[in-house]
Amino acid sequence: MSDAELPLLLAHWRQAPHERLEMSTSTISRSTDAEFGQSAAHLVISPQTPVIGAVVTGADLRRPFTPAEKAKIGQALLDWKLLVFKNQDITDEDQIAFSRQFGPLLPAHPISAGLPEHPEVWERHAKDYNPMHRPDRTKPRVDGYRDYRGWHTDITFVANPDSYTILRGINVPAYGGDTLWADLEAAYEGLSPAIQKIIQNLKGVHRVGSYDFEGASPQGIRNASSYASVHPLVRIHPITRKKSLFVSPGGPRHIVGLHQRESDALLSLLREEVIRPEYAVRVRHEPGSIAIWDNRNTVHAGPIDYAHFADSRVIHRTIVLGDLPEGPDGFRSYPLVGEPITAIS
Amino acid sequence: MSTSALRELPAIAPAKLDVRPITPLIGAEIYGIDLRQPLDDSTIAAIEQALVDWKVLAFRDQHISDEDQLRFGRYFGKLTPAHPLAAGTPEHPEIWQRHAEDYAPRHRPDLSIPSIHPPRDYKGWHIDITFVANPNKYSILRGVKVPEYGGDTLWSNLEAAYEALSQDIREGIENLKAVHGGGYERVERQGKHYVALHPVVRVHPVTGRKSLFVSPGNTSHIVGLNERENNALLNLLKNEVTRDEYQVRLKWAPGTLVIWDNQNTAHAGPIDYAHFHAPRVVRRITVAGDLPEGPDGFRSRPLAGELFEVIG
Repeated sequence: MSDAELPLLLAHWRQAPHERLEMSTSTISRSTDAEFGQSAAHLVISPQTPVIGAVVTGADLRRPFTPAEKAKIGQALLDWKLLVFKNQDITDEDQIAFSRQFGPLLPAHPISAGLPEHPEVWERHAKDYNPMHRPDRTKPRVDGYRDYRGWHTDITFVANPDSYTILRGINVPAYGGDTLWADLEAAYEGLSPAIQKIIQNLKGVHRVGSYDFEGASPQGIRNASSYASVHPLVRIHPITRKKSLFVSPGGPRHIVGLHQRESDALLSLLREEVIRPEYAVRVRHEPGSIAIWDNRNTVHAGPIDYAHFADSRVIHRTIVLGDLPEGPDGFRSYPLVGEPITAIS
Repeated sequence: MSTSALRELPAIAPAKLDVRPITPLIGAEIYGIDLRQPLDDSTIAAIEQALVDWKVLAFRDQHISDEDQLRFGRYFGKLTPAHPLAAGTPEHPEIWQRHAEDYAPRHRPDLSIPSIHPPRDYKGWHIDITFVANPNKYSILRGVKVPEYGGDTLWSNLEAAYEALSQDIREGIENLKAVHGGGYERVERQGKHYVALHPVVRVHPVTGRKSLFVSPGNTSHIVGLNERENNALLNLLKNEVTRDEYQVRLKWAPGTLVIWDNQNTAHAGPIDYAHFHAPRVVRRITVAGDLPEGPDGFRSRPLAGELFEVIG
């Protein structure tokens, strides 16, 4: 990544006083309006839980952010990890332009095609989930049947998963189709010091199929066996340097260096830790709402209840180029299969 | 009356209610009712029908008194004392007042101090007072002081959890019985101790629908299983009842009152008590319930302690 391509947050961080970010723990007060002045006062940040998630009102995503807006939104993303902008009547082009302010954009998905006219945009229909995740389990099959795992961090099977994911509701039901996010920094901080020490410099192997595509052949899959990567279990955020538990039910399948039963037991514990409800926020999508989250220190799940509603739910997703995750020992993620992904716009 | 006969809802034409569902499976907000005023029979019938449909009902902007809350509760049956193991408020023995800060000392022990028994974690998810053989039918919780954010409560639909199990597991657990409040889940305060035996699959007294009557915080073991079988099966069932897709999450606001069916839901809250400092005060009342019934007609019974009494 060249300097010219640095995401705005990184640029913002370089200009920002370190003290402010060190105050931004999950329980202590976050940034205040006074820091950004009147020129961003129209943006109202309303936290949804003490740990993660805020709603932003007063923004107009059809036009680029002013410097004051950029700074305020950038800080709010660091503070709350997930921002939901309400009442945004925007086009795919607007979404792409909005997303690009956070860095160069990746293709829609490493193993699935984007829209013909916009290769950065991934369109997902809730009904796509049903045939994949609700098979007829009474038929004997060599490989058995996989359940919907739900919780995951986006595309961790590549060595450089996206830094930010942007999700826009195109068609959303009146109720049903909520998305949940959880804070991986809070999950790390909630572990006992003894377990934190054990996992501190361990690495996990993530591969395609960890949460979604294994054993299924949804439309548009290019090559479902083409990615596997080694990531740290404890990840250092590139901007705040805070540690997070880089684990999810859809994340690492095994831990490097451990016996199988040790790996299974430890991963079972850690997967349950990251989805504790006290680290999570639940968002009900509305027409015109658009979510952006930091994909480096969060997990998410949705549409969790796809099997329980019949109304159409269509979303458009864009993803921003990310770096190679870093561990506390300076370890950098690397691919076992496939190459790191590169930006297209 | 045979044990399988269903109790009927009152034969009163229900009023039209403004019911706004929150998820496809559980939870709705109710508008257009003023709980400071007495409710007529058709409105009560409509609320009971909405409870059957949505299991958890949130009434917003109800700035009501303790007396209003008690009157509302009595529309649905006799009230119980505040809690089998805890006292009510001085004025109202039916009202249990809870502060979020009460949770911290109980659930955040100093892990570095060696103790004979392992420190317990905050279990969160539970069905109210299943350590007694006759847990309450409905719980009614009113936000008296709620933070701007933080302190959400989650509910889970135990019928959906039951229905989504594979047929083989459903058939296998159909007539199992489980102990609530035994083993490591023992609840004892001031020498009072309750343990109850309940069906694992519960039949709802109004609808006849089956639910997975497993309380992650209270169900200690299943009768007739070896210890390792118990651990594996209970672990499975406890994970099933707390799957996100069966849940609703409610954010409290000043004046929010929630009534839920404690016969086919589990709940957790304030889940994030350790992450906010603003005061959160709630007042709960509970409507007396029956002995839960299993598909084979089994009725719950106490293994230790008495039945939970009724005030009226």
